[in-house]
Amino acid sequence: MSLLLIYRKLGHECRLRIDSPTLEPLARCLQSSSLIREETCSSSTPADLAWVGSSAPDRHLLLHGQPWPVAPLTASQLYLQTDHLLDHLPRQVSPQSVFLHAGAVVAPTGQALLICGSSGAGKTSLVTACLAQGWAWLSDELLAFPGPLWHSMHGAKRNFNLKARSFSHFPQTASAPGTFELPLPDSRQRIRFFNPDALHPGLHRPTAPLRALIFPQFSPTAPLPPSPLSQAETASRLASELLSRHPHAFAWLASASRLAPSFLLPYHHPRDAVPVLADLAQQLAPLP
Amino acid sequence: MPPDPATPPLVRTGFLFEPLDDGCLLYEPTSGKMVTLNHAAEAVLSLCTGEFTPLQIEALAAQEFALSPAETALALQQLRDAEVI
Repeated sequence: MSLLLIYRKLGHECRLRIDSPTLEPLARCLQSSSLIREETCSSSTPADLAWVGSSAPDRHLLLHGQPWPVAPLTASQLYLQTDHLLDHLPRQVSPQSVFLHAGAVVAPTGQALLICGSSGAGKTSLVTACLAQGWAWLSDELLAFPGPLWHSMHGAKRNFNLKARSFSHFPQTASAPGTFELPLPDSRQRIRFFNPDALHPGLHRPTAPLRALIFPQFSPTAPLPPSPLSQAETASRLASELLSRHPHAFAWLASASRLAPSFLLPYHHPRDAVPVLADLAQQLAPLP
Repeated sequence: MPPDPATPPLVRTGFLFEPLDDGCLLYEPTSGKMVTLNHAAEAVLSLCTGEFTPLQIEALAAQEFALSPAETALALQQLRDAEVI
């Protein structure tokens, strides 16, 4: 018998089949926050992704039935690659949506803030810090704008991944149910995956209207107040995190750059950034 | 290879344009390339018609847009790097 794990990602169901019982505990740690159900199945049951073979060199990842080019995979590689592909699958199903590498939170006063930046900028840290203060969240990593309203923001629910340098900021994540740590390939860094629902249940929001853009930037010294960004600065920063390159994405980029208030947020400790974001959210005027 | 100072830069065709308060966005649908230009680069781009050499663009940008030679040179380099010209 095989195990079928079914996830809901941005409104789409993604199916991961596990053909080896020895891999089931590892698979159950994967994106547990977006897992909606599991079923028993056979090894011929269709699935978007499948783990076959219990150990190297027989262990493989299949994408739509085809072997993933990198094989055999270590357990860490299997986990990381599948985590990445689970986020990628909704992009294949909705090619006309606009996808952005960004997180988003909703302030207690109701304003949704998009948090954008390259890997390591602090997206997950800021979203986690906001979550710890009871803010709602959409995602720490991936947002979709399916249109036609440019500000209609949809969050990809997933387990957060925290880099080792941020572990000390969020010690509570170490012992949360389902937390899983592994070393990054070709690196001495460790990465921690945790289920945000296990820490603070019921705070996820699938959608929210975007009210402002936040670009976090770690500041090694004292925190500085957020500074407004111009439209061209905003466009340049957003463009580098835009995962879609079709004409709708270009139109979205122009609208978001022109219409959304945008701020650079230098922060030292992510916890200290939360009241700054709360103040900023309260000052936002209604969208035009 | 460094650009030939005698060759007049010419903007490539096929870009879509969206204005911004302090610059503009360019988009090439065939490649998906998106380029953000600030005011200086946008102004210099308007002079890349194939009629003027970089030196002439420098003089025109100073006269028309009050850009320094360094600003114009930087903008030209940014446009070359982004393969807009």
